[in-house]
Amino acid sequence: MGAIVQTRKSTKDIAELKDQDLIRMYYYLKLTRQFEDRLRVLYRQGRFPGSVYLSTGQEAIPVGCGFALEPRDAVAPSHRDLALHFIRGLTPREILAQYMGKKTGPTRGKDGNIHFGNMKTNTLGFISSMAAGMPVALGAALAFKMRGEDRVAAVFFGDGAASTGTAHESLNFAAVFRLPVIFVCNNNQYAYSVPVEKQMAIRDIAERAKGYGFPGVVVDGNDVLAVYRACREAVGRARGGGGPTLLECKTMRMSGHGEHDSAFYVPSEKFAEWKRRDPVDRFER
Amino acid sequence: MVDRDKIQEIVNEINKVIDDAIAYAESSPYPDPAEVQEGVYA
Repeated sequence: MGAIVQTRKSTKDIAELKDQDLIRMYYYLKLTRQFEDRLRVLYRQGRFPGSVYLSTGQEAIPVGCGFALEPRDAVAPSHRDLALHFIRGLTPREILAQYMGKKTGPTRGKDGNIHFGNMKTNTLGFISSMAAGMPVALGAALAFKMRGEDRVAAVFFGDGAASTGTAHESLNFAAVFRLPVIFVCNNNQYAYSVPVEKQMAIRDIAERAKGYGFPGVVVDGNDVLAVYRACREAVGRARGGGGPTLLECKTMRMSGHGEHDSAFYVPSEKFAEWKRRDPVDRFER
Repeated sequence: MVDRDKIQEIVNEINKVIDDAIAYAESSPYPDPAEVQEGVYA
């Protein structure tokens, strides 16, 4: 048996979401999209140093999971999860100050990029080395379990990170200790320039969970409500003592790895195909 | 649930938030070089 493939069949399974919640979801999808569109322009105008790593096309994952988790839960976002920071209360002012290396940013000017967390909002800082955030999230989950706290941890990473030894060790550790953790993999088809089919011989990354002894779930990562539902189930399982879940969100990175990368290696048909599944447009419809 | 007018209202509101954020960030000070080692442990 492979991974569980989960789809959202109707809005009945997300009935706990009120109209106001759905409008807030839409707001965060649009805020992230519009903010990053402006970030791209500012970068190209040379108005801040360094590079910029966007989540365009992947916004449904941090938004869906952000709504499925409670503020008391710990999150370890990746560089494609800006929406999680917004949902947890970081403001566009603070994020832009961060990019511009200003004192008013979360790292007070010590980093000009996305390497920041916020302990007040239970957001663990992002570590650039692939999968390095996973053991940190496991530490949080282990602490919650040892203290008997009703909290879970969720760690976000990409398909490239999923291929590292750290990821495999983390999945195994979480399984052995039955930790309340959700592994959220944004399978965006490319690890920098390497297409996913050239870095693994399986169709679904979620299949790997079975080898470690816990559920792996494949979900349409461009459907915010499907992501919400799948993450909500995983959170419920973790809170109930059911241990970890590997949630593979199928999506597409709609630009280069960073804005310095033209993504010349991605066939234009692939971009066109995924553009039709744009998460913001779909939710709007 | 929402019509085109409401969507446009949200878009406009977000644009204002972003304009404000750019102005705020650009007018914010750079850190004092004397603080460079604050919070650095290794």
